[in-house]
Amino acid sequence: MTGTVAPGRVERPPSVIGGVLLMWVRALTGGFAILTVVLSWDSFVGTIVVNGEKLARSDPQAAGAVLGWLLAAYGLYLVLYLGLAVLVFTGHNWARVVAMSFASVSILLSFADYALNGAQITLRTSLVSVTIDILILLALSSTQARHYARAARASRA
Amino acid sequence: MPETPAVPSGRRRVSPGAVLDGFFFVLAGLASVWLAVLLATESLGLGWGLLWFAVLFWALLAYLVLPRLHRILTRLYVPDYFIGRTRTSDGLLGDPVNLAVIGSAEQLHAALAAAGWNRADDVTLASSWRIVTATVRRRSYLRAPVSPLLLFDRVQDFAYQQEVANNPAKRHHVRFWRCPDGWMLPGGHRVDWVAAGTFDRAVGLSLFTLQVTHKIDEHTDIERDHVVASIRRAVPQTRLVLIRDFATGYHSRNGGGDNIQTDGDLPVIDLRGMPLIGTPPGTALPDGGTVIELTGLS
Repeated sequence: MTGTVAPGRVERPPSVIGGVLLMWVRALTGGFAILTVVLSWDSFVGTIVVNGEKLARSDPQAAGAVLGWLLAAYGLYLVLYLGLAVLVFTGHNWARVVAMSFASVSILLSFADYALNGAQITLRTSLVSVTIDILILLALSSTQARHYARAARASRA
Repeated sequence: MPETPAVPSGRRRVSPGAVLDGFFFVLAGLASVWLAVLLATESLGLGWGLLWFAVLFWALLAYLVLPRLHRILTRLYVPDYFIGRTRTSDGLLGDPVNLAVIGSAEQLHAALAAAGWNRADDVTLASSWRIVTATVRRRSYLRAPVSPLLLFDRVQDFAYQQEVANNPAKRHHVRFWRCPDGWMLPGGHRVDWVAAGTFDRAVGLSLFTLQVTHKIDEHTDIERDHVVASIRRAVPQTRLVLIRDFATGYHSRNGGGDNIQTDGDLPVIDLRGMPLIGTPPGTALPDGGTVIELTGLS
């Protein structure tokens, strides 16, 4: 049903498939954010502040470089994240643990912001990304997903 | 007292991986509760969008949040050894174990088929979709799947059912588990299979998880006796051992929150005398067709 990459006789549970799909959605929204920045490059370059001063005013080239590096780093992270999703899909337990750790850190940071700083988490702000993170964590921490990763490891050994 | 066989003593060694998994499992449960709160807060600001959000909220609560919370809590307080009850996949107490069988898998399958039972399909996306559409459109689905219930830490080996009124909303159904090797019923009776037979009377919402599920008839003895009677009619060689007051009469709830009432008797269906087509007749039991009652001290 789910392709030939399934290790051994273990069938890939829906929670793993759902979790990996959500990881892809998360990465794609990141890619969309990069696209948005690139399309309105100038206005974003203008927002870069170093030592309390807008960098674009004193050194427009440096500001562009900073933004470029930031985007490149984020893009690299997204690519690695997509790779991680593939490894989760093929049943690598460490990849599942790393993915759950990413989701947990992101959730806990959002929660700290919400509980301590009273940040509003709504559809207009970060509700969608928080929802996706929580769903990823729920899916990948499920008993099915755990058994799948363990069984896949056993069949590789 | 005779020496007891070696039992793993002390606490089990817990691996770091298991601890980490447990941490993420609980964290995800707590995070999902927070998500439910966030969604509820968000929905207050919506006008007609509220309706969509309410459905989303229910789905989140029923299929993700409550099951996860139940799993965390039942792991702590529901024993995972045999207590005469099955458990749902969320760890809640499920249908009562009210039947036992002695005999091979072939004999059991043949007896049930002869008695007019249909084997239930496995739960897949396709079979789940089909049972939903068949129920809504009141169509027949003779091999409709049954939900997974756990005993001995695993899902039933197979299930059989009989449709009532030509649609899957109401049905007789019985799930079977093969007993672990050397395992005995409380009281020392050795059987090959234990089973849970209940009657689905309608489709409704589960009390504990709010999921859409079948509601079962509280008089589980009627269903138990129906299974036994149908097999005895179809297979005259059946020997029946009736263990009286096996589970003392209790009034309880199953995993969907339905009441259960039973006299506590456990019929053991002995199919060893049943001849199979294509094989030489086995050891025909001299007392085939009889009923033996086992009563406790009084």
